[in-house]
Amino acid sequence: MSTTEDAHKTRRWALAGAFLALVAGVGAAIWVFFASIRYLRDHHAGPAALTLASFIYGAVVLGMGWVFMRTHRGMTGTRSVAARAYTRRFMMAMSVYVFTLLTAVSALKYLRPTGALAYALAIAPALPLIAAIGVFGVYLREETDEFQRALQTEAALWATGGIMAIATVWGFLEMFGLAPHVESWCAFPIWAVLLGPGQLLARRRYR
Amino acid sequence: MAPPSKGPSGKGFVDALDRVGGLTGNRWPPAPPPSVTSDHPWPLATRLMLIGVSVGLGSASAGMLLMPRPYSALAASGLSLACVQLSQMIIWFFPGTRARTSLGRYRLPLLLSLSLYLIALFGALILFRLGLAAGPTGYLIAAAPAVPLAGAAIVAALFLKNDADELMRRMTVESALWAGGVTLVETTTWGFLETFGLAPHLLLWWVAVAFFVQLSVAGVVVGRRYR
Repeated sequence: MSTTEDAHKTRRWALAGAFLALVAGVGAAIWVFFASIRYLRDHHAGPAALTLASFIYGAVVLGMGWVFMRTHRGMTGTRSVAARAYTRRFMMAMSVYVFTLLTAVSALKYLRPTGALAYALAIAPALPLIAAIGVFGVYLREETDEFQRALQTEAALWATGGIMAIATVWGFLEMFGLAPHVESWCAFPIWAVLLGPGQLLARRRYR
Repeated sequence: MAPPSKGPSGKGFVDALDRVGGLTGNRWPPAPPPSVTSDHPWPLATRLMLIGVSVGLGSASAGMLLMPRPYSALAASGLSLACVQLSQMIIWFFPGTRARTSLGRYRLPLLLSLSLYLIALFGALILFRLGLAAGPTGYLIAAAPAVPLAGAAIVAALFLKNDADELMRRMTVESALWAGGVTLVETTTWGFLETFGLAPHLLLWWVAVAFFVQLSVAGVVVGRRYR
């Protein structure tokens, strides 16, 4: 086995490891968040404390995402202008998302608006996520590195196929009363998570 | 433009279907494609009017989805029918958009897996209505529609890998990306409306149905751009 092959193999494992670390980290953050919310509720904390806890949680998840994207870029050796712009725009969209989501949740919970304002507040957190989807599309268009573009496109297609299969099975399980209800905004985060395995799958071909 | 000269090897499912041939008329080597510049003989106004009728039917069905149960089920089938009809009509009336011909010998397996998907989907719905989906069999019935779905994905991947020319590959990939993006936008918007109690529950298998509807529309739109 040649050294290049060895290096490729190591890098793949490192990528998989970084991805798993991200998933585990986000999972841990979610767990800690819910535990602390329960703790605060049990101790009759006010809305300010709950909102603050949510903001800290959002910042932690954002930080983990940023570190992952930096590490990932370092490992894959992608330094194209488009990839940098993608990371920057994506993290911007995510920061706006976290802020909008927490604001909207707090506003809807404590102000209880109705009518058009309620709809506007409910749609508001979706907008930065839609922007993030658009950012991915713009990246695919702007990327000049053919290899990277082919890789990311294939990963996106695998992730799309995966999300459709998962959604179909889960939808029926839910209908039959065999699985709890999952709200449909979960599709995008799950799609983003599936990009990781999708990339590994696509990368395998180009070893 | 010519597809890579990859004749039937005599082995495998796709080639076996090829040798049966007649079902779709997709023989190898394929017939020369129709001229993209040839236009439909009917006047433009008539064609646009018929397409408008189809759009109206689809919109009416979409509106009827909000009605109570027997009507909403009817509306769902009407909507899917209208979408299929619409994409077919656009392809018939504007021959330049007819990009599908180059699916070649992958068309039959693809159609087959999509039909199986629809059959499994409606089968699961009917079994649920009959009350036969309770208990452990429910898991099997729930997983059934995903099997042809995975089949369709694999057929599409094989087509892209083996037989698609550069243009076809770009068109397929681009329409799939558009359809996926639009679907994610819709699920995200709907999801937040639902979370805040402003929209009804959405059973997630609708996501895949919406994806396929949008895939057919995106295929037409993207095909038109690359005419």
